[in-house]
Order: sequence, then structure tokens, then C-alpha cells
Amino acid sequence: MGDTLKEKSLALLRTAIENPDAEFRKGQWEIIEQLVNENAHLLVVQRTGWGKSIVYFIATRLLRDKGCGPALLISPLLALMRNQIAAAERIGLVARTINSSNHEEWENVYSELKENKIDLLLISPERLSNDKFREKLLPVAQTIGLFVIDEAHCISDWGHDFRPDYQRILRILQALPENVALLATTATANDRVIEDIRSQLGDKLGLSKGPLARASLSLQTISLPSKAERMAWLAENIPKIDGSGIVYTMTVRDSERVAQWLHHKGIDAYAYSGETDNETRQTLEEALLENKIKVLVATSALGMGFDKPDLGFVIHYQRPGSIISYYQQVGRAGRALDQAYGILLAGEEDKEIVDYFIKSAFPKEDHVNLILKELEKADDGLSVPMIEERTNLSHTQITNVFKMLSVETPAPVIKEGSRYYAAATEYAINKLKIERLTSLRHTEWQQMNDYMRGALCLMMYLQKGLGDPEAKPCSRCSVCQGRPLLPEKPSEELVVEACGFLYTNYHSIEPRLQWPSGVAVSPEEWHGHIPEELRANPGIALSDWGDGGWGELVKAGKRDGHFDNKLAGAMCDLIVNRWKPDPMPTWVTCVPSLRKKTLVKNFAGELADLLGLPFVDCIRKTRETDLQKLMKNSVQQVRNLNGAFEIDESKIMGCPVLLVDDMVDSRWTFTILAAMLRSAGTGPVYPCALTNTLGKDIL
Amino acid sequence: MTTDSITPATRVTLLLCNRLGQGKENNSTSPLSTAEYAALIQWLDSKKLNLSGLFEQDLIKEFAQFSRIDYVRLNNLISRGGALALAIEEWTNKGIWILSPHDEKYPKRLIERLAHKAPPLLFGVGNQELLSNGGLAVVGSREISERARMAAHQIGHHCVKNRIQLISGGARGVDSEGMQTVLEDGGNVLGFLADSLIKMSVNGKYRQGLKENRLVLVTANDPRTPFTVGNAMARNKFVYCLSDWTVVISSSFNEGGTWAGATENLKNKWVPLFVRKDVDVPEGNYRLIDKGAIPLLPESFSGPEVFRNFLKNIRWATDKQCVVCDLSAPYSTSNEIEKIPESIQVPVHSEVPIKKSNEKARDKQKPKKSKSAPVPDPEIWHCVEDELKTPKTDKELALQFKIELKQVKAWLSEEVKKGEIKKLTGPVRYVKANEGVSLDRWVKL
Repeated sequence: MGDTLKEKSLALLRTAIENPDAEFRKGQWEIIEQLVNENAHLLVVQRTGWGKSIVYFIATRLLRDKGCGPALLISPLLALMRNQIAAAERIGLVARTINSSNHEEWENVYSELKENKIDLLLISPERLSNDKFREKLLPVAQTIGLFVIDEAHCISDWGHDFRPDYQRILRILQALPENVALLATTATANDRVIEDIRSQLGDKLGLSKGPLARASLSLQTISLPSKAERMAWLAENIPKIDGSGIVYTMTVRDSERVAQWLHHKGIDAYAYSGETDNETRQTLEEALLENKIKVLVATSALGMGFDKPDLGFVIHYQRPGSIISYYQQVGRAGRALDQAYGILLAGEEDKEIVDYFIKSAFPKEDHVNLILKELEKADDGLSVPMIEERTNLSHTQITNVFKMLSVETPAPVIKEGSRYYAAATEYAINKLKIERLTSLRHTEWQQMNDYMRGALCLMMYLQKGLGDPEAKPCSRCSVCQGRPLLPEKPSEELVVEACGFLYTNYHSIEPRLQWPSGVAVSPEEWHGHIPEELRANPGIALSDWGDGGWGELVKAGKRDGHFDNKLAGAMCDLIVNRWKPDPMPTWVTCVPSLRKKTLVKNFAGELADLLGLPFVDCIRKTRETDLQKLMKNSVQQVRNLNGAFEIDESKIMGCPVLLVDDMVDSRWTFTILAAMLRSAGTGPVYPCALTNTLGKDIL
Repeated sequence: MTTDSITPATRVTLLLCNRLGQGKENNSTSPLSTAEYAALIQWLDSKKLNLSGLFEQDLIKEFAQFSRIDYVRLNNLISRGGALALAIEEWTNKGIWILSPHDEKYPKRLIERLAHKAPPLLFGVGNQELLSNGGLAVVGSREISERARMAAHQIGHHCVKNRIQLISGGARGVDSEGMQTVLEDGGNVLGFLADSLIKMSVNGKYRQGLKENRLVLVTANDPRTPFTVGNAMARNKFVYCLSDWTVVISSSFNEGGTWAGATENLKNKWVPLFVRKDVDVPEGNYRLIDKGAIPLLPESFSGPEVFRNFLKNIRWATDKQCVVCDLSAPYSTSNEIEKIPESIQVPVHSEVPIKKSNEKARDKQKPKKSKSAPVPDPEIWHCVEDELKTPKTDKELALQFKIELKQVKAWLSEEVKKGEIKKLTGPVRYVKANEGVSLDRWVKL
């Protein structure tokens, strides 16, 4: 019986990868056999490209032939990569997916499931936290014969990528009886993470672990503090490397700026992040796979499961928080090549970014307690918008609290429909756990810096850090070779050019079209839709806070209480030579402040001078407001400003005006003042800000 | 609640008996009924096996042959591991625990009283200990008069004062009035629901009680089940069986859940049934009293002491197999089986009119008694005694054996003194002492 099974499996392997002489890699057959014959529960830790998906494809095929139900694959990927789907199809597997981006197909998929036409159902982890989806999934889950959990390291909070949604998956797996097979796979897990996963999934969990080294990967680290230097280095060296690859950045903004710069320098580069729409993401992934573009400049959103065998280089623009996340990204390069590069560029802003991530990993205790208090008061529960109204917390802050609370056992909060209810438990934040994890993150950052120092072989350092028993010097990295693989310093000229580029980081300020519900705006009780005659015109912001260009000078100016007059010059240049609003404003006014009376006024005055326009101080602040950037949602932001301003109608002029402020964040200040000015009889209002400080989740 | 707080036996029970989200379509596999499940357990017991053994294919085949239940159906049920895991995770995530008869905290009296009709699965939220604490069930219709509401409140208060747990069906009307009162007063409540467990468990009204371990909400149906009349009717028997006594506040006649449950109880003789008798009670109440329920007058629950005594005096007459509330315990527990006292305790403050008249009758009886033969004729008495296996009134005996009433009364009195016979009240009847007093005393046969 076993032999026939092995022969069958081998035949399937050869068909799937279209190689009549293919043989199983070490461990692959054993895993298949255990899953099919013993309903085993297994954890497989093997590097990307080892063939984890082939294993569960074949296991699924065999189980289906035995008469079992479909396999359920839980993966953060949007869709299986095309080459994987092709392999599955070759052995006759029908694979379908249910995720947030293919709503229209869901009903079809459910029908097909009921008719037993589907062999492999792929869903994303967040789906399992959705009540409606669970309801639909449950009846068709009756016959599942195999559970596959991809990126299983996300289960462990010792791991670099702990995700609350995986906690629910964990609990589901813990409830699986012995007659359903389970396969958990990951490419990045160190010993501690493996131990943690095993302790949670039970000691009956078998383990298959392989070596991590990539024979053809050559590593190097370079320290280049400023953004301009690193951008110059990239423009200079990427064309020198064969093949296509990835540049990883830590923030969305950076991925966009770097891609724009490289493109400007004639390199076929595109930005990719969580903010890119799904369709575009898929297009870009395919383009890179087919070598139609040179480089994707991506955040960690390009991660999970993306497997390009001939990835020529992975360059990091900034240091990630841990060597395990570094490895997860750089380890993709060089699978099927003789030579591939893994370069880490370290910048001066890295620590600040990583610190931000560490700090915002857990919601603040105050937020948690506040939300719990509000829930206790509500007999009928509260929805997120209702909580926004009652507290000064943003949508994201609130959902982060719930994400964390959903992981606790017993759950202090229960979700029914769209509302949350306080559960009947006594709850206290697990401060110890948070401290432990925060401290862990700081240790990992230390490790990252040790890697940078390059005291020993870079590859060996990574392997050791991940608990690879076969760690040994690689002889390919810059440390083993004793010299840099690629030049360490970019040309001066290019650095200057990059600098200039960073300084042209202006963008448009889009007008708001709608007041937030639940507020009536003074002086005329505006609410609902904002009509055209009260709307602001599209405006302009000179920079982003801390963007390595003008944003740095603005930062300094705020700190010193006075803006460098270079800023007025830059703004004037921007307005006259690039933005060129039509009709041109004929006078200038500014947003007043009771706290810092002269900061913005002085700047606006200077700007007006340079533009040759009159400056009219016609807006008065009648009462103190809280710092707008502390107001976390639209309702609170508008309430904060409502009725705080007054227009001196005797001073205004009925023609286009430039409305100046130092920072723009939510745009509510501009929106309210524009409406008030228009209502008082001015012409079109152009918002104009030195810098944009809108701090969204920066990945 | 962690997913591993559900025992392996309970998991298998879920696989066998719960829909696990599946609708009632044509080709779906229907779960085992309570009877089928009971048959399986019995079969496994006889083989000295437990439920986990069912993961062995051969065992399923064997049972299929034995029970004539379709093998394919059994196999399908037991193979639903994926759905089981998803369902368990969802329930425990909402704080729901699940018990099967194999679990320690599963209330044994359900098995004792219902045998193979005991529900295979109990879903609940809150303190499991309370399930076995017995108590007073207070039931009644959803629409009630003001007086009825007051009665429910009063009784609720007295329960708290006497540290008796309240058991309720959780429905609108009498049920929830009682629950609220007891919870607010700091007492314990067991709510056996027909539907909407999750909705109730997150209701702010019950949060305090749950937090302080004074409340348990439980259902024998799937937690997501919406209300159906069938389910509501079915759960009534669980309310009765978990209690030591039940009070009907208001009932319709010959229709509705309260009537159905009460008559079911009278038929099966699970627990003593009190029915409120007052100026505003609906017809159903009177009819239930006719059928043998004990009338409960407002005077009997005018105060906590009064009510306590009322209950106390009823309790000795209950069937040995009933687990009885021990009112002297720090909190009413139901784990002790009461000894049935040899003689009647005539309550000093009892206001039940019938008792009074019997007392008087007995007093009047005494002088006459001395004139009749004190010891009954053994032959005749033997026949009479036989009749007393079930309670009979003195009149019935006199008629049946064609003996003079006063003679019968004299004999009965004598035998009671000796302890051979017991005298029951409401109405007054006599029954053989060592037969174990059955509930028949208050049911007209």
C-alpha cells in the first residue's frame, strides 16, 4: 500500500513541476505520507522555494482520491502565485479563494463547495474573524480533510510578525480532533518561535526543519546616514547588478519617494505598499516575476509567499527591526541563480522608525481602560463609530485595542454583529507580557546593529540568529571576502542631485467635500455636504514632515520658534514656477494661533513680500483650542475648532486669497476657515502649508 | 474559555449531536437524536468503551450494525472535525462553555429524572456550580397582571432571604421579572433558556451577576438558535427537573408553554408544583389545582419566614429520588437526600384552610375513637394496607371496603401513630409508610 502511494506521489510531483526525472527533496515524501496515512499534525520550517506548496498539493490530491473533503489553506497571500496555481492545475486540483477582494465570486465558490467541486479552498486569516464569513464557512467545513496554515510563525508572539488574527487560527487548531490532518508551514522561525508554536499546538506536533543558507547569496552592509546618500547609491549601483530585484523601505512614503527618484534617473522602478490597490499589486508582482521591470521599491507588504527564483538582489534602504525580518526579506534572493546580492544600507532615521513601531505595537493602557469603561456603561454594546463619538480615540486606535483584546483569554470583549460588548470577566492588561515583548524587540534591534558591525561572516551571523545548526562561514559576503562587494560611497554629484530631488517634495492638499456627521459648524450651523461656493480650492504643501528635504527645516523652525527664510523663498518658487494656481491669489492671509502668535504670521508676511502681494491679518482666534494633532477623529477635530475663529469682514477682499499655515494634518482647519472666508465674501481660497504631518500607519 | 476546556467526550458528543452550522438541506447529515445518542452511550457502556473510541472506523461499523443507524451517516458525523474546530473556537471565544453528561459539572438530576431524555449537550455562560444547586423554579406566562408581577417579585425576595436559588426559563414576563429581582437582591439564578444565549449573555443587565458568579445561563439548544415554540416547550421540562419545587405564577388553560410544562410535570411527578391562587389568576391556575397542584395563596408568601415554612412543610413529602433543598444549609444545596420524618409536623403558622379543617376533624375524632376498636382486624387491614400503596383518602377507603367512616378514621389514626402509615395533607390522605412517599399524594389518579 505504501509503495503504491509513493509511486503515485512521485508521479504527481513529476507532473506538477514538469520534470520527468524529479525526485523528492529530503523530508517531502515523509510529510506527504504522514499527512495522508496518519492524519498527522506537522510543522514544516523550510526556506522559500523548498517546495512546501507542492507537498500540500500532492497531499490534497491523494486525500481527495481517498474520498476526503477539500483542504483548507489559510494564508495571508491574496492569491496563490500564478506558477503555484499552474502546478496545482497540472495535477488536477481545483483551487478557489475567498478574500476581501473577490466578493462577486463568493456565491459561486459556496455553491461549488457544496457540490464538492473544490479541492483546495484558500482564505486569508482576517476572514476568520468575520462573523458572517464564519457562518458561511461552517456548513461547508463539515468535510475538510486537511488544514494548511501558511506563515505559521505569525502564531507566536515571540516571532517578528505576531498577528492577532492568527490567535483565532491557533484556537481553531487546538480544537481539531485527531482525524483531521494539519500542516503548518513557515520559512522564518528561530528555535524559540518553534518551541512556542509546539507548546501551543501540542507536543504531538511533528517537526520538519531544513537549513536556511542560500548558497548564491552575497551579503554586505553599508552605513550611509542621509537619505540623499542612500538614494544616490541606489541610482548608481542598481544598474550595475544583473537581473531584477527588490528595494525594501520601512515606510510607504519612502517607498514612493525612492521609486520616483529611481524612475527620474531612468531606472524602471515602481512603488509597492499596503496602500497600492490590489489589482496594481498583482500586476506589479507579475511584472517583476517576468522580469519586465527592474526593481520594485516595496514595504514589507511585499512579503509572504512571494517567490521569484531568479531574484537578483534585495537591497534594504533602512534597517528593519530584527534580523529575522531581515532574513525573511533578503533570503528570497538567489534561489536559482549563481550570484545574487543582499545589501543592507543603514540610515540615521532608522532607529526613530523602529522605535515608533515598538511603541505603537501595543495600544496604550489608558485607551484600553477608557474603551472598557465605555462598554461597561452600555447595556446594548457599542460600535466603533459610537466609541469614536464618546472618546477622543481614532478609528485605528480603537480597532487596535480590540485586536489586542480579542487575543486575551478569557475575552474581556465580545463582538456580536457590528457591536462590542463588555464580557462578564475581570480584566487587567498583561503588563508583564507587554514588557517582555517590548524588551525582546529592543534586544532584536541590538542584534540588527551587531549584524551591521560585521564582526563575523554575515551569513553565519544570520544563520546562528535563526538557530540553524548548519551555520558556517559562507565565503561570499563582504566580511569573508575582506572587501566590499559593491562600492561603499556614492558619487558627490549624485548625492547633490538626490538632495535637490528630496527638496521637491510638494503635493496637493485636496479639498474636503463633507462635514463629519453629528457636528454643526459655526457660525452658520453647516452640516452634511459642503457646497462648492464654500469649499476650499486644491492647495499646496511644500514638504512632508521629516522628509529629508524642506521638511527638516520646517521641523527645525517649529522647534526654534522661527522659520528660516529659505522656506519663504522655496514656497514662493513653488507657487510661481511650479504650482501656478489659476486664478492667482491676489492677497495673503494666515491661520492665527494664540499660543505662537508670530510663528506663522511672520512666515506669511515674508511670503507675501516675496510674492508682491498684500498680507491681511483678517482671521482672529477667539478662544484657545487643544492641539489639533491631539484630536484623533473627524468629529473631535471639528468640535475642537468649532466657533474658535472669527473673520474681520471689514478687512477682507472679494478676490482669490492664499491661506497660509505651517502644518496641515486633517485639513479641517483649512476646511472650516475656507468656508468662513467664502461665506464672508472672499474669492476662491487656496490652502498653503509648509509641511504635511498626516501620520497614518506608515506601512 | 479556552478551547481545551471542552472535554474529549463532549467534543465527540458535539460531533454526533450538533448541527455544527449545517442547515436542514436534503443531502445534509442529520445529527443523532437524544434517543439515538442515549442508545449509543448504553452500547458503549456495555462494551466498557468510551466515546473517543469512535474515531476507530471498525467501532462505528459495529455500532451501525447493532443499532441499525446508517453507517455512512455516523461516519460523516464523526468526520466533521474541521467544522467542529471552527464551531468550538467561536463559542469559546464568546465565553460559552459546553457540557455533556460525561462531565463532572453536568447536573446529575437531569439524568436521574429524565434518564435517556437528558439533553446530550448543555451550552452555557457563567458559574457551572449553580447547575446542581437546585432551587425554586418560578414560571408563568409572558403577559401577566400587576398582581402577578408583584407575586413574582415577592417570591424572588423570599428566595434571596432564604438563600434559595431561583430557576427560570428566562422568557419575557414572569421569568425575567423573577430573575431581575433575585439578581439585584444579590441572590443566585439559574436561567435555562430556549434561545438567544449569546444575546442574553452580553446584556448589561446580567453582567454583574455573571461577574460575581451568581448567575448561570444555560441552554440545551445551539447557542444561535432563534426562538421557536417547540424549543420553548421542550426546555420547560429542564426547568422543572433542575429544581426542587416549582411555582406557577400564571397559566393559560389548555394552551401555552406554562400549561404544557405544568401538566407534563404533574404527569411525570418530577417536583412538587405550587400554583398561585388569588383573585386575579387566570383559569389555567384553577385547572392546574384541580389536576392536583398545590394552591399557593398570597398569605403563604407574605413574608420570607412564612414562605420558608411553607416550603419546608412540603418538602418531606417528596419522592425519595428527588434531591431536596436543605434549607438549613448555608446556601441551599441539593446534594443531600432528605430523610423522611416519621411524623407530621403540623405547622403553627400554616394558613392552608384544608389543614385547619382536618386538624379540627382530627380533634373531634379523638373522643369517638376510643369507642371503636383501636386495632384493625388483621385480615381486613391487610387489604386496606394494600390499597394504601398509593395515597387514599379515608372516605375512599370507607367506600371501597364498605366500612364505617369513623371506623376507618380510627384505624388510620392508630396506624399513623405506630408509624405504619403516613398522613398527607392537601388534601388529607393516607399512604403506606415504607413505600417511600411518592409524589402521588398530591396528584389525583
